Amino acid sequence: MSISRKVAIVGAAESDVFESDGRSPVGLMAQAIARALEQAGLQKSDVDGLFSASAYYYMPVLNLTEYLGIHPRHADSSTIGGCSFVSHIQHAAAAINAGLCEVAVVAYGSTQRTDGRRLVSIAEPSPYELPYGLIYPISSFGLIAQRHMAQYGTTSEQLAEIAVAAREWAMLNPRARYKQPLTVDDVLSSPLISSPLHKLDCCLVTDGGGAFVLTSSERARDLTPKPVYVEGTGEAINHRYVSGMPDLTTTEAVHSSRRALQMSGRKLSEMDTIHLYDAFTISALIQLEDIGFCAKGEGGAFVEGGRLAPGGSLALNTNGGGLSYCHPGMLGMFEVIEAVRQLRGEAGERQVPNASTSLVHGMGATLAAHATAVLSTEDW
Amino acid sequence: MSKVTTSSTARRPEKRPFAHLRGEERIYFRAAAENRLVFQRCVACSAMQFPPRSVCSSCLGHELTIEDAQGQGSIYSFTVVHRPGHPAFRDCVPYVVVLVDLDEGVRVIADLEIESGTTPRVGDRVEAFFEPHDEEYGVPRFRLILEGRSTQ
Repeated sequence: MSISRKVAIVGAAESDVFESDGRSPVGLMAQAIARALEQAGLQKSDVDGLFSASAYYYMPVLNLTEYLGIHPRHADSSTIGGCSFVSHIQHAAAAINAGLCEVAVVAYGSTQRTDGRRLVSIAEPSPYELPYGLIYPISSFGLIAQRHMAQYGTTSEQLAEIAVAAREWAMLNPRARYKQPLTVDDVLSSPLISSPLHKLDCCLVTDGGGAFVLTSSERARDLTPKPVYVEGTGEAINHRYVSGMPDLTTTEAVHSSRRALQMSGRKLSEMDTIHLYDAFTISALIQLEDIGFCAKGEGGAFVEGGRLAPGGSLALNTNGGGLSYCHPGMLGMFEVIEAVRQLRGEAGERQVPNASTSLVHGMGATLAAHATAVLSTEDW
Repeated sequence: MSKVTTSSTARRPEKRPFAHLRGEERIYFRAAAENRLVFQRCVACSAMQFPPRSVCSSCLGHELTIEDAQGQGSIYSFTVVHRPGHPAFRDCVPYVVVLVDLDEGVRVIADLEIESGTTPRVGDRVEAFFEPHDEEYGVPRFRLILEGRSTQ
């Protein structure tokens, strides 16, 4: 029994982003849920499945039920890091398909910029890493980037191209804060934080929240003229901390993406927009390789020459991504929302013409967990 | 394995952050207090593992032995940390964190004592030394094995 094409996203909305202006994390979730349900023409009483993950709340679904007066019969707070919300697509599809719920809401909210511009993380450092002063998670990605450079000759200039392209996309996004163009030199001359990563190799630290609503494909067609069907999903996980990462340059994204594509019956070349987890330039580069846009080790050359920028051959992170638009700590939610926006043709100046199929890939922790989804508006 | 030499090297924190260790998490740091760098080997399948676990991560075998490593290996990767990752490191930047492939075949994480302003390379040979943490635990560290310098 496959879950392919059995469910669709019928609403997807962001809360206020960047600075949350007096809203709590659950307040941001609630704002986004209200907006997403309104898009779908659904009431909160219709919601019987609730999904969330959070660095603020140990049991975020419980916070939400109290805050909004929602009474779900199916709840799921599975947390596998920033890609949790991408994995929730698979979980919700399975639950809806099994009759455990009919209308599933996935929600996220974070105020980490307002909280002092630090990553808010449930304190759970590795006992083996803690004595050595790694900056979590930047030093982990510094180790990963350094290894990729040593093994494949990848350069800081090549990594910087990813940040430059992200800024070009952000400049087309009216909600993005930073609108001045970025050059490779700007990235390289920004302070080193944990070598070889510079400040501008790292994502923004923002507030933000989001929510999306899933229901059966059948019901979705009654609710909206443009359901975003879930065609394929995949997950793969293999470690927790960078000190336990078996191979610093190859990740389980290989498997989660293959599973999602196989379930969808599509090829990578059919993807009109691509949404990868660019918490760091290096994390995006490794995902490009592992998902199969280029061979392992060739990511550096692949991202050169503006390939990822508007007008390039790959429409990657069209909202500006975590590097230049919004990163409240768990980016996966914003990847899903941007894909839905593109697929519905609502992306304004940055709209990819006739986008009908998107690949969303999230990672959790230090490239430890991976979740991929193939979304499409094409009927079958 | 030798004693700490500190001339012109980056400063160390007075008191390192340290987890509340539970169960098998104590094995590695207790051994370090005795100037030993240890890993586990499975009696059933001979697989080596670090960090120590309560079962073998290859075959789920329950019988595991603790073995001493010689303490030498190669840098698998490193990062030079320019902003303190913890308040205890406020006066220590920049400092170097390394992943080391020990000659025995397991990978460990630690920091690298290195002359200020020098950067290691992936593949550089390193050796372990030990810093006492408290009465019970020690902290393994590494330094470069330099040509023409005693590795004693």
